[in-house]
Amino acid sequence: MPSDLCYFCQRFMAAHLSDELHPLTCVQSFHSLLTRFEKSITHRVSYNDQRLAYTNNDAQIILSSRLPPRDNPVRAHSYPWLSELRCRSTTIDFLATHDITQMVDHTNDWPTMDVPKAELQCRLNLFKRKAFLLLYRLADCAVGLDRTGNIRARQSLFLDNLSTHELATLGIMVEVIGQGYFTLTKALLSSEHRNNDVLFAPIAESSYFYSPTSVPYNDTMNDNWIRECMCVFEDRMYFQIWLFQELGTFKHPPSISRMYS
Amino acid sequence: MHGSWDLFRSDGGIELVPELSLLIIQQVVDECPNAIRSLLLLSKVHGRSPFR
Repeated sequence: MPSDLCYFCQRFMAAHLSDELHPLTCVQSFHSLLTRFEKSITHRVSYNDQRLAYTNNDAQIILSSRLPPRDNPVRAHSYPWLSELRCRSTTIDFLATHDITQMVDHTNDWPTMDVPKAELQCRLNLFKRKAFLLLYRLADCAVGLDRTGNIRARQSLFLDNLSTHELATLGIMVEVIGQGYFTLTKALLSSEHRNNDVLFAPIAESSYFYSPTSVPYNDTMNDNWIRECMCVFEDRMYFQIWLFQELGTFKHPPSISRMYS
Repeated sequence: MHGSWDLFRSDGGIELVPELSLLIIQQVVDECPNAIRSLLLLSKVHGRSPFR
């Protein structure tokens, strides 16, 4: 019997991995089985899953990370919901260990705690995960709203109800990622461009932010340009979290057109 | 139909009961949550297939 179960598992996996609609006799009852037990399956899979601890899995409706983010809310204990939580978990793992959330800075005399390095890393890791949870909650609280004014009003209410500690956590994380974005972008541009190069910044037609079409590459002007991107980055943190994870490693900075569109 | 195969029946003729199907689905979803999208699509398409 175990070998038969393995056999069935292989068939199920083969069915979902298949790109072509081969002549699989997959009866309608299988479809109804999937839909009827959606809630119990997702509940059992997600129950006590520590990977989902900081993904706002307690909310009844959350935003999907798929584009455009706020047009696709998903309800709790559905297949898209589970998929979204796993996606968030992967994103958090990725960002928590990436240089963009680096919080140890020996060059600028940033304050640090007098604790062993290993414990400090644990505390930082926990801090980042709590901050990402707050960011996801900030995004999710406006689910179902479609006008910027309404969304901001709901988020403002959410922020008003946070404790001082939570508010500080959120503010610090946004600042840390913004600064990390600045540092990484500047390092990348410095390594790829000579001093007299001109950077072209294509603008999407739907852009509502002003941006010059090209920027001469020199330290001062380029710093301003990156800093402008950094402000937009901080402003659109939720979208950028998803985008950054999708881009994988920081080989190519997000183009300004993608950021502004 | 030539080349067709039943997801609930092995080549040896063993039928998979719904309870076991659910356990396997749960395992598949746990391994890869996106897999369910393909399974839903396939079962919907082929459940209504005129070839059946």
